[in-house]
Amino acid sequence: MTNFTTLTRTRIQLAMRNKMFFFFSVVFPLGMFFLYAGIFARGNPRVVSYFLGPVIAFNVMGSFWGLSAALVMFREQGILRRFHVTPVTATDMLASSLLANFVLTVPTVCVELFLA
Amino acid sequence: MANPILQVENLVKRYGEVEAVRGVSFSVEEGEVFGLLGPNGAGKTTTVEILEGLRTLDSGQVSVCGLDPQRESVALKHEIGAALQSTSLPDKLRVIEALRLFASFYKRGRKPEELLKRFGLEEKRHTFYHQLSGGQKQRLALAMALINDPQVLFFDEPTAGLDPQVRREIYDIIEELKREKKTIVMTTHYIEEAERLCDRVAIIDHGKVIAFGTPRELKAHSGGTTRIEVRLSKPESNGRLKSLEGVVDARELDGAYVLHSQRPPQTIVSLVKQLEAQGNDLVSLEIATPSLEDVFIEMTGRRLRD
Repeated sequence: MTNFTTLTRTRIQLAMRNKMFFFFSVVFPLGMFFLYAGIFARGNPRVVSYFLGPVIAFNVMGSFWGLSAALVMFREQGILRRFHVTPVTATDMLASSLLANFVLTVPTVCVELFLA
Repeated sequence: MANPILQVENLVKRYGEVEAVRGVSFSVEEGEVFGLLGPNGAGKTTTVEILEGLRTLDSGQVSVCGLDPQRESVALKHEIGAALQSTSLPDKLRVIEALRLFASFYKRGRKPEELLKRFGLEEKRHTFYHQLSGGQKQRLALAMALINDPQVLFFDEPTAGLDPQVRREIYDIIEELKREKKTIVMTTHYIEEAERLCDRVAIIDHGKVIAFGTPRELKAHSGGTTRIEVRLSKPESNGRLKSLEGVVDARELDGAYVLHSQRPPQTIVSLVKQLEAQGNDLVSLEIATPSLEDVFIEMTGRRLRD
């Protein structure tokens, strides 16, 4: 297996263990979704579809904002340095973070689309 | 030099205006434990990080396992293992996962299981990284450095911030690696560590190598004298202390007087007599066998640990 795939898998695993992550990437976006769809739109399908775009955009943006915060934390704690003395390249590291993030965001977005 | 595996020539590194490393040169033979000893901020970590390919250099030449750490960085990283200073792992990573993850980065290597056993981490295999004690974290760091069975190991301050008992545990591990003829480059600001573990030592201060050799050679260089440190109730002149029996050197250091003597008993007797004659009192007296600390004091007029 390449460095990229093992790193991606580990990043996903780590994210799932993190309660804060779970809350902000699953519970919170879904909460926002119900807030907009149920209360502001009062279940009216046309208004729901109007709100759907912004809610999903908000979800995806939030998740990338979280990613940058995680990478900064990795750097501050010297975790990136440790990876840097292995054959793992900075590209591997960034690409795996992006993919892991993508994989983790997609299910929430799908659930939102399904519910809508 | 028979077979240097690592060579550094006239290495210079600047951070803005500050020259952190100012022309350091040394070479390391295969199978030896080489120590960089010096106070904090002397340039040890910078030097090691350049060798690991973590930092760029401003001038000079460096070769590790015949590779250039800057241009052949990925190839080099397959050949080296490192335990960095103040490094860490993600909190929620388990011990065994960390070893497996890092093992997956290399073409060849040792089995994670074997390293767990060797570093006494078998019982902790499923523990999260953030739940490990300082000593366990450091043992894991050393185990991870060995995962690719590297040609050269870099340990940057391997025992910094650990309590004495844990420190001895780490010494035992490094001594075992030494018996296996591993090539190790380590930095430290502990004299004891350098004397106990290193075959050869470069003493570094302000980015320069100020002394170089085996611990024994370095100590012999300071004349094989005994250090006597005294505190007195009233000031005394260095000149008068120097004229005491057996004293070859006397200097003032942080309010104490440091005498180097070839005949300690005679020196103490004559010191006490002289103080009595002047109505001065001895507040404290300390005798230390020659150590690398004396070499450092002699060269810089300062203590190693400030």
